Amino acid sequence: MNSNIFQNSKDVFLDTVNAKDYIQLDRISSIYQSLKDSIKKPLKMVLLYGKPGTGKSMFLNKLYHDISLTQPMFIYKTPILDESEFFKTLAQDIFSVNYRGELNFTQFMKIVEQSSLGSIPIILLDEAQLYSNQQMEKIRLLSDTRSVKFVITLHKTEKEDIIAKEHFQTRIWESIELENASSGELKIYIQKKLMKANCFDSANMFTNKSVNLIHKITRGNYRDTNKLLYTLFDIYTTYESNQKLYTLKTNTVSSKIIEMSALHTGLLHA
Amino acid sequence: MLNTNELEHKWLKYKIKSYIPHVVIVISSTLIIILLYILLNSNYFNNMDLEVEASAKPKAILNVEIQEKKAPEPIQPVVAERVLNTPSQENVILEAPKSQTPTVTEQKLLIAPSMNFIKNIQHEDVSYNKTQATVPVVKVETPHQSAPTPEYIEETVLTQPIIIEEKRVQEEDHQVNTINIKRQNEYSDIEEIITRFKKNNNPALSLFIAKKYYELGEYRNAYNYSLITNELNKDIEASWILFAQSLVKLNEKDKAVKVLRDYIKHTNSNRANLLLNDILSGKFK
Repeated sequence: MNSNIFQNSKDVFLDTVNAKDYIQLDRISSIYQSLKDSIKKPLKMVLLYGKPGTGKSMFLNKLYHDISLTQPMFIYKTPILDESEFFKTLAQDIFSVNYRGELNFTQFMKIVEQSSLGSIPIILLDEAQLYSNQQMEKIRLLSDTRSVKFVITLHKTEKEDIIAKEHFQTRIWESIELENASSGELKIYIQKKLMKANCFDSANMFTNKSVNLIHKITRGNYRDTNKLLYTLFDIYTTYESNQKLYTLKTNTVSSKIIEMSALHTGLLHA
Repeated sequence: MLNTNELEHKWLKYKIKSYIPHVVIVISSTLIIILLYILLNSNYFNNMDLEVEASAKPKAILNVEIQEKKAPEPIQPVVAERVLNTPSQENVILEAPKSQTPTVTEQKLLIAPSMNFIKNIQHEDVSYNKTQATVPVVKVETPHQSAPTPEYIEETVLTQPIIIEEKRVQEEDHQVNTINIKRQNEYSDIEEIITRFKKNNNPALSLFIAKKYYELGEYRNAYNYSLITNELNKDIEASWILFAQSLVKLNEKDKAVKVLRDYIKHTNSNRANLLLNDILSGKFK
């Protein structure tokens, strides 16, 4: 094994949201399919919720990547917190109306009423828990016109549950929860991710024992797993460059290195 | 580039920390097991001591008696008797001991020997310092009356002189010694039990001491120890009975009656009732 392999493996686990890096897992695939199906339904809103790092943003990106070519779809990965700016961006992106000056909700509704689009545009809003209650109320009213359809993602916390209840309870016809991976799913996720980048040797290093330990540390959270494995391969690269790789086992991932990575990333505390 | 040395150091610290709870659990559970073992054993031995206590006393006395009896064993008590059908021969057969090594049955026989032979000897008019028996023919009788029927197997003419007086004196001496040793043991045993009682404050031991003192007629000590027993455990009936009996013996009849009445009121004890009646009627003084 040379350092190039460890370097490549390390890069696989960079924390980026890219639809190309989407990993097909049985449970995830079925959830994704149900999300795709619900978009086709005459729903006003679809809520995608779950704990941070469960793949909500990845789901939204994958959906945009797959459907945007056949259907008008607009993704907003970061929330536009200024109300006027939010409506101006929507007016420009969806209805191609370039509005000068302040655009309030009433003016935007007029633009919506005057426009005549062939199919209902789908707006994907990531991190929707950051929008203010007032803004969320206006998004709700906008969805009631059935001129636009919203797919929003929320962090599942106590606060966000209240938001979901207050604003969307009567309007959401589909709510999908994303959960952390099981130990088996995590193994497939890690190995598929590495094999996708042709890192077969490093993929074979992950035994059930090592994956179980990783799962114990990260509790199956994809973001934490990516962080941990990035550091893990960084440690291997460092050992390699310091000519100390002989002190480690390279046919399997040693528990020591996993724990060292967890300590470095703050998932474990000494 | 990561500082792997620092990370390794951190990891070592983490590992040591993570093993601490396991080590603590192992050590504490081992300590608990050891303590339990010790506690259980001490309870077991305490119980054993109490059981032994009850039976130890007579055994000790018996052992002393056995030892004392063993010494004069070779000297067999002899009963002289005239045999008419063998006038020509003068022969005596002394029944020899069955075996040199004493068996269990032999020991038992020695514990409660028949004293009849002494009576027989006393009835005989054998003068001291007599070197030769006037009656030459004797029949030997075994002292073991509890043994199966003694056999008068052979009758022969006595050819040797018989020395009887020494044996009798020896036997009498041994009897006196036995009594003395018995009393000494009683006191030394009580002292031993008192020291044990001081160590563990076991009411069973104080009751035992009280009983022994009562038996020995030391009613003041019996009163004291039964009082201590009552303080340690109020539910021992025997201790209250002994307490009342000691009071009566100490000429405190009224107090004894009062104590018994109070005790009967609380426990409705039959034994206490009987004793109270005996005291009141004057049967128990």
